[in-house]
Amino acid sequence: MKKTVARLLPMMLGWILVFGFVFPARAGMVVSTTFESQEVDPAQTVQSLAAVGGAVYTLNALGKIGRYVPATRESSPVGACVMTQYMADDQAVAKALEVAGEGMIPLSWLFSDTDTLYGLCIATGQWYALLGEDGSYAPLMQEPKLDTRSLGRSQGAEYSSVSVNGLFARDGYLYYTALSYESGISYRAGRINLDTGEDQPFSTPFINQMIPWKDGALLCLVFDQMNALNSSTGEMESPQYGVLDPQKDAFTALGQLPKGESTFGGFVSGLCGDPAQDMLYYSTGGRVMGLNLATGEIHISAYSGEGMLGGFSTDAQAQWVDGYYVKKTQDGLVRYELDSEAMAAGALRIFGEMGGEAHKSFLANYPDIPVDVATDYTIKLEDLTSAMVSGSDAYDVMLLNMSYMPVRQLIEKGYAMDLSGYPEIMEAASRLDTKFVAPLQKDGKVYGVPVDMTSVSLTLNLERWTELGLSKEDAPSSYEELFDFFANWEADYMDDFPDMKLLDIEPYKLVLFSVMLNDYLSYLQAGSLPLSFDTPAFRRAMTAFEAIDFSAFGQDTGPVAQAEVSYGGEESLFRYESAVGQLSRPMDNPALLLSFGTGEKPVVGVNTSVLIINPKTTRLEQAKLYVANYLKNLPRTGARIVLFPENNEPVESKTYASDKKSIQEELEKQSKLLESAEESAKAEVRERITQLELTLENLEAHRFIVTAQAIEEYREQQEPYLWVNRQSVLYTSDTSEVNNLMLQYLDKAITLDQMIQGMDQRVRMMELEAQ
Amino acid sequence: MFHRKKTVWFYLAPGLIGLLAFYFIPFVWGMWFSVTDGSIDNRYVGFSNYLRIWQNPMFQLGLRNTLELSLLCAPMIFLLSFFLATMLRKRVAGDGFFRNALLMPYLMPSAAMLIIWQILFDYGGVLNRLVTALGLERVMWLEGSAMRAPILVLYIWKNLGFSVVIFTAALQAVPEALYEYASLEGAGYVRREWYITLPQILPTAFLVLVLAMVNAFKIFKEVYIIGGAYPDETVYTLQHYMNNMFSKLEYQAVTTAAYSFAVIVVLLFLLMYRTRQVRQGEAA
Repeated sequence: MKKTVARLLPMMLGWILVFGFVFPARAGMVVSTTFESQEVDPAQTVQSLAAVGGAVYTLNALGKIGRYVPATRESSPVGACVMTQYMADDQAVAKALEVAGEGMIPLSWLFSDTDTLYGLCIATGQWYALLGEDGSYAPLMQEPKLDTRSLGRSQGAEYSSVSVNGLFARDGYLYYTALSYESGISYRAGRINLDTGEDQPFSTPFINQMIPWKDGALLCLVFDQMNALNSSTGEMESPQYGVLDPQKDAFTALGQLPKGESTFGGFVSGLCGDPAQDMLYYSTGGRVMGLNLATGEIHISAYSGEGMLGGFSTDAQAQWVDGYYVKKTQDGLVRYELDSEAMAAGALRIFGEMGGEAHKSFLANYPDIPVDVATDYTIKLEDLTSAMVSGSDAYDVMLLNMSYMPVRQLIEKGYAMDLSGYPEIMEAASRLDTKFVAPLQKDGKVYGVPVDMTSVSLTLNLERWTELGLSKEDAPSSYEELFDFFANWEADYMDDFPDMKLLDIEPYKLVLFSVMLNDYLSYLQAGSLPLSFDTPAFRRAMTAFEAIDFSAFGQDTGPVAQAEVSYGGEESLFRYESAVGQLSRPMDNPALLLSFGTGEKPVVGVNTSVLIINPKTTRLEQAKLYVANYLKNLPRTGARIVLFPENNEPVESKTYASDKKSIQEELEKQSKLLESAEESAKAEVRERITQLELTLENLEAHRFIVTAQAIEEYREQQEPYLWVNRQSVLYTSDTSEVNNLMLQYLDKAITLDQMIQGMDQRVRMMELEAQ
Repeated sequence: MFHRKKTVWFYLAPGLIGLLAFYFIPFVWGMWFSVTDGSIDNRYVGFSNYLRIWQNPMFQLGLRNTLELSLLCAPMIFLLSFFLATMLRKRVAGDGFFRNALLMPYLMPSAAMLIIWQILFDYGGVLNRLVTALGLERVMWLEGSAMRAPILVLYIWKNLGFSVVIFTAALQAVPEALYEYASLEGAGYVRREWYITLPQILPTAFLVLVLAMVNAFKIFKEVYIIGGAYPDETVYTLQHYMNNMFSKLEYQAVTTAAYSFAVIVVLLFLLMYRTRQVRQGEAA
């Protein structure tokens, strides 16, 4: 995969990640903190929902159907089916049904007309009325089979290449919107006649979402999400809304939704409405907006608490039920009371949060507290602090990065609340690793709490390494050794391993230099050494660096700033990734902790995210609650262990217990079946039992996503060397000259001495300015 | 009469409101900012910001460099523009073209001029080719202390035209007969300009000098474009200090430095004004 830097946004994000030092964020600009990977529990994952009466019915990834009443928040199980959402072929469905046993029906989606709940299996075209007259689960197959090819049914296909956005039935038709990934991305919208099974696609292009409206008409959002970015203005376009007459297949535009504040403002999802009141509701960023179609007035109807990516999903279905907005998310069903009294009084405002586990837990634990999350992550710090002074549009809680933001300065100037007097926070804070808390203390008081850390470093692929005939103990322990290895590669290994890639990202020159420079800054900070590049440690490392002939890797061509960055060497010997403190990652790819001198201790700089409370917040109790809840619900595979030294319990997979239970139940079932089965069928059942036992064995082997061994290794091998990076003077202002000097050096336009002299001079000027 | 006075205020109101909103209030607000600590409560700290700033080595360096650059640029602009204006006084073919040509750099955006300057002063640029053709060593004009030369030339080249225009306008008011009489008396160019032109246009000359001085004090764009936020120490100006402090969110330092700068400019102006008054008094 090769693209020039300017072409693709993801590539540019990659640059920032990889060459964070060379291209640091503009001083004062608040950039996003961290995206955290999260475990997904299929039992919680709602795949489809449909509203009937005052209830919402859900179908989860395990095929369980549930009922939820938004007004009372009561939920109850309804029944079970074989989940076939990712199947495209009826043979696959038949096989799944065979394993599931008798009485099970295949379903991939739920849908409803005004008062009946249905289920549809796209792969077979079968559909069922699901509830009996008394409301109990009593699936009844309907005729005829529907032509569901537009929804992804495809004979012989392994997986469905169509993602359905929404389904509902009205007046004898099943209406659908879907996104097809067959030969590019395209939108599909149409209706299937429930009497004949015939599919009638609509001719209006880019119908993104569709809901039933008045007088047999449909309300649609027409929007080409994939091409929503206006390249000339750099802004996202917003969707058009209008009415579709299904009989005439004619669309009449009514208007355009306003652009949201979100960075991805154009993205809206979860369209639903209350036709009786002419109200349309949708999600964008962290808000549920209400649009009155009669007056054109638009307002915030609820805060969803989601971050920038709220509304980003194309299939985030929602239902309006008696004044509640019920939406399906990755974490289950969420419900917001629309235009509630609590909402009218404003919301707890959070800055910097991207929708992580701890934040979501607050939303789940305190559903009555409206939470408004900033969706623009390019706000300047001066705007944040000005808002705090004026009290207008100020955030109550802020999540900031200590490496790139002047957190210390904010504490010194009183922009962070003293948390020492709040036992609900201090109870957890007292158990935090002191090295993370120390930078947030002043005069013995605590002004912020660390909640996350990341550290990007080189990792070693042990499998590749042993192929070279080397052992783990031979791994480089200093930058000199690492650079020597690169310098000697051509002579020592290249002939025998011509296809082996050394790094997963190219050009090597820039990656190695950036990694070393980042670690060097941490090394100086940790040793309380003055920021200077004219030191024996730096010169030693650079001498070894200069010995590398990058042309041997075919990469020493052209200016570095214009180099094409290449990713994708998954099987490379070294990788550049976030590895330190990532306890759920495979252990055969250990992080390389490199020092600046053989025999010296390494320093592992970590970028830490911290939560601070606005001292002028008018929602102090809620803010405290938010921080305390956050600390209690940190990601269990990372921050909860890394930040709290006493947490050493291995972490079990969220699905382990339920998976084990269902396998054991199935085993019991098959065992009973074996007893009663005819002789000819016994072999097949035995085979199934063997398979299930193997699955159980495999499940036990992977019971823990963070093992005791991983924690122990982390405590012994990484934790002692961690250094919490403070904001370097190099990140406090425009450092383009420093970057230019480095690039000039890498391009051989200036010598090492010139670069060192130039950088030291500028650093000294920066430091003197700060006096 | 009273009624007419009220009408005057009505017409003056838009301008006065603008002055109040965009000059007076920000001026007073900024002054208040310079005596506060920048904390969330913005506490009054007296003149401690001024003491801190004046003791800061980079502020001192910026001030020193700015003064040096101003003392180099302002007289040069004054003399050169006066000389060129006197040359353009005579009506000759193409004088309009020269006048316009001199004014053009003033209208050009500084960023666009940088490209020309890089072509001229780059290590492999036009100037260095001339230097090597003369058998001399190349100079890194855009690096280190050598950067002063292209910055000075760029600044003078860009701002010269404006002063020439002011001088040219003033020279039109000097009676031609005075020059004819002086020529008959055998006065040369220097004597004519020194004894006739300069006394006749003294207020304008004073204005040009003041403007050149004040503008030279604000030298920044030219240095920033060539040298960036942290150029060589010899070209680091007061505006660099303020710009960098702004980037670091040190607003108190920015406002304090700005008011210090304003005071220096006003003092310089008063000094020049006083000198002019003394000179006029002596002449009378």
